This record gives sequence, structure tokens and C-alpha cells, in this order.
Amino acid sequence: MSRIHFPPEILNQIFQFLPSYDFQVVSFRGNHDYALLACSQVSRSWRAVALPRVWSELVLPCTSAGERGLLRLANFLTDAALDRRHNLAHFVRSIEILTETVCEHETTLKEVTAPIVRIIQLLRPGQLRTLTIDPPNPCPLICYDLIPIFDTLKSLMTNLTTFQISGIVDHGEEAIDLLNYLPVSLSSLTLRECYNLHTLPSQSPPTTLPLHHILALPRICHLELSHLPSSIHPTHLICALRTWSTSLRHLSLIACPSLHDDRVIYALAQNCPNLVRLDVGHAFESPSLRHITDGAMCALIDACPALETLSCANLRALSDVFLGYCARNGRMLRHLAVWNSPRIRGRGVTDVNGWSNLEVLEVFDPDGDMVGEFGEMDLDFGRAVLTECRKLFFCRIGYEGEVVLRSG
Amino acid sequence: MSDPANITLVTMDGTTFTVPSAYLHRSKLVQDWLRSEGDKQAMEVKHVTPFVLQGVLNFCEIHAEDTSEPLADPADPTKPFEADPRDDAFRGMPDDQLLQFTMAADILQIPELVRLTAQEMASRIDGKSPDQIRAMFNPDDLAEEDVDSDNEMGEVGEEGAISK
Repeated sequence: MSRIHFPPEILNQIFQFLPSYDFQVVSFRGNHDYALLACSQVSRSWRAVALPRVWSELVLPCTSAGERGLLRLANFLTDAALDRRHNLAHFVRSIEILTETVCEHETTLKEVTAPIVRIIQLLRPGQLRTLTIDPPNPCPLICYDLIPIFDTLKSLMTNLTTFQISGIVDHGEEAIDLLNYLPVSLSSLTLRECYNLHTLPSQSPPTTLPLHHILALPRICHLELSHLPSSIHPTHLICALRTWSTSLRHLSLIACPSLHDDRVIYALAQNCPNLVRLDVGHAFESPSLRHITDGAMCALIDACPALETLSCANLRALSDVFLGYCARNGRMLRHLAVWNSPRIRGRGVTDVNGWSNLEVLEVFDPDGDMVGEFGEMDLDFGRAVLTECRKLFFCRIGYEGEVVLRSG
Repeated sequence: MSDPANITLVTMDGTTFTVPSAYLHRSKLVQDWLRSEGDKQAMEVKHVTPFVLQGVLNFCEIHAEDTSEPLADPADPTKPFEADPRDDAFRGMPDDQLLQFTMAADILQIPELVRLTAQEMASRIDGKSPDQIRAMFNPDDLAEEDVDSDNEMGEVGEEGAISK
């Protein structure tokens, strides 16, 4: 059989299409189905192209169950680093630190953090592009200390483009200080659960997030914030929206009461025409959620023609005026969710021609009346949606229990 | 000066193909050439055989009327690949021929064709062991120290499933 020579750039193209790694599948079935690893063992030329991809993303399970594997990985990568040609750690571009959400005190998480620090120390400053951290809730018995991990990561963050962390406030000032190291190269930022839910008696009172630094980052195109403290004022975000301007594609403001404000929505309409996704609101009713009105949301629909996903939760001031306008003009919308807005009932909204691309529609009130085909929602509205929205495959109108699914 | 409505391509052995320029609107190489050297008689495509170029041009003709937005990146995750029955010819192709088409698509910078051929090649590789892949393509060998390292890497992965 003749030898088939694959130029490296072609192998690279092909390897892009191999399935991404699935932690659970590999854990359960072993490595044999992991196509990229198999490719790295085919030949010298294949290996040279596959190995950077095999090691480009590290998942570090900060759990007692992961301890043995982490220790072995740390030893393996340390040995590999002795030979410059085989320093696999230099291929790493993404790190995800997974944790157990609750410390059961019988774990050895303190011993888990040490190999994670050893592994991170093998990386060169500036090589990391993506960092995802899901730290556990603080342990009252102080079974572990994540600060060494945070401290080690700081020097590696100079070229990050994506950063995601949950519950950072719970881990105190040293953890929050990590946010001061977010570089100007950052384009995607997710800060979830930025409230002090599990503060330990031994910890100091809640610390202020460095929001001025975060909102001054110039290249943000994806921003998710949830449960932000009220100390942030809409004008801070509005100023940032002017900077991000046409770059901003995705904005999520969940349970950020001070930012649920018409001024933010109008600023989006004026400055961010390329917005593709907006999530705004809170799962629970809050008086401040009356500050986003029909006028601002209609302006957003007009000004952001690329908007595909819009989720509004508990925006109590929204009414059928917005729903009707959206139904006529939201031409690119594929996913619309309006939860618990008591003034939205669909009355008079029968022209839904704008929703020609709509695939998912959820307009319901969890506390609404469950009587009738669409609960408290207008019957004509429900029927117009089901008749006119040809691409709709998931529809929930009226109350949670009623779901219409279509195939094809 | 060449006819602006048509373009002539010359393969490695001098064979010429004249087709409507519109067929090749998704080829970045051709579009760049038309902008900078469009006044010349013909564009050389030196590393492509007549058979492969004919196949590429067939693909371009079939898809000339497609209204989908041109792909900027063949592996753009936001634009999932959907098999098109018009491209079935590529799915039954021998491996070495498929590789020739992948290379031609890469040279001509046609992201849609790169995606089609690279995706097809990836699906042939996926799920196979290193030995099975070697049997398909007969590539060069691995060094002995690499094999030792691989064995250890496999054990590390099986224990903690660490590297993605």
C-alpha cells in the first residue's frame, strides 16, 4: 500500500472536526474512543499536529475522587517538562477547574489543590486563553484553601480571552483580587453568583468587586453577570456599552437589580446593534424590576436586527404593547422567553408575522390561571402563534404545564 | 485582457478550465486574484490535477446559487454542518482522492469545500484505533520513546480523564 502524506495544515483542518472530548464518556469507557488521542499515536507527523490539540484543554477536577488522577497527571507533566521537546504543558490553552459544590469534610481537597498548583506552575506566562473556575462553597472547617491556586493563576492571565467563575465573593478578597488581573485581551467574561451567600464567620465582610476594572476592559463581546451587588450604577455599565459598541454580542444581567433599568436598554439600542442575545431579569419578583418598560424594549427590537435570543424574567412593567411590537418586528428572533410579566396576556396580538424565524416561545406566568387552552393568555394570540410561526418547535403559552412540541 | 464574466484556471499539467467567475465567488484565493491580477489571461493552480480541479469546479457550480452566508471559518461552531445530498460524490470517494480534494479546497480557500471534505475524512478516522488508522493511510512511524510516553499518557487519562 502506498503511503498517503497529509500536509500538517490539512491534518489540522481534519482534526478540527474530530469530536470534542467528553469527560463522562472517556471516564466510563476509557480513552480508546478519544479520536484525537488515537491520532496522536499514529505517526510522527500526525503526533506533531494532534498533541497540541490533545493537551490544549485541561480539566482539573478539584475533588477527592480526582486526587489520584491529578497527582499522576502532575507527575506525568512534570516528567514531560524535563524534555523541552515533550513539554506537554506548553500546549495548554484552556483550564477548567471543576469542584464539588459541598465539602463533606471527609475529603482530602487540601491535597488536591497541591497537584493543581504544580500543574499550573508548568505553564508559561501568557499561554492561557480560557480559564473556567467553579469553586466549591467555602468549608467552615477549612478543609481546603484555594488561594494558592488563585495566586498561581494570576501570572498566567495576561493573554486571556475567556474567563468564567462562580461564587467568587464567597472566597474572600484574595479570590476577588483575581479579577484585577483580567487583561485587556479579554473578550468573554462570566461572573455568576456574585453575592455573599456562604460567608464564613472567620471571613471579613463582603468585599467590593473591582467593577471599574471589569467595565473598562475594551474588547468585551460576551458578558454574563448574575447576582451583582446593587453598588453598580447603570451609568457605569452604559459607559462600558459605548466602548464595547458593535463588538457586544451577548449580554446577560440576571438578578442585577440596579442594572434592570430603561437607561441600560436604551444604551444597548443606541450603541450595540450587533447584539445577538440578551437575558435580563430575575427569577423572583423585585420592585426594581419595574424599571424596564415597553418603550425601551421596542427600541431594542428596532435597533438590534441581529437579536436572536431574548429572555425577560419578572419584568413587571412590560405589557402587550411590547409583545405586539415584538411579534411584528422581531424578525431575527429565534428564542423568546417572557416569564411572569402580569401585563402580558397577548390581548390584541394576532399579527405575529415578524416571528417567521421563531423556534422557541415561552410566554407564561408560573402563578397564572391554569384554566383553558392557554391559561390566562389570550386565546387568539395562542392560536395565531401556533398557526403562523412555522418554525416554532417548542411553545409554552399561558402556564408552565402546557407545552407544544413540533418535529421538523 | 480576460473576459471579466469568466475565469480561466490552469492546472499543474497546463490543462485549462474556463468557467463563469460567479462560480468561484466563495474562493478567497480566486477573489483576491481577480482583484489584484484580474487583467491577466489565466490563473495558475499549480498543485491541483485536472481531475481534482474538475471536481472542485463541479462543487462550485452546484453551489453557485446557494444563498447561505459564506463561511469565514470551515470549523465555525456556530454554523453546524448539515449533509447535503448534492455532495454525495465526496462521501463515496477513496481516501487518497478525498485528501486531494481537501488539499485543493485548502489551496483555493473555499471554506465550504474544506469543511465538507475535512468533515468526511474526520468521520472516517473517528472511532478507529491508531493501528486501524495506520492501516488506512500507511503513514511514517512513531519513535520508540513516543510509544512509551503514549502508554503512560493513556493511563493518566483513564484514571482522571484530565486532558481534553
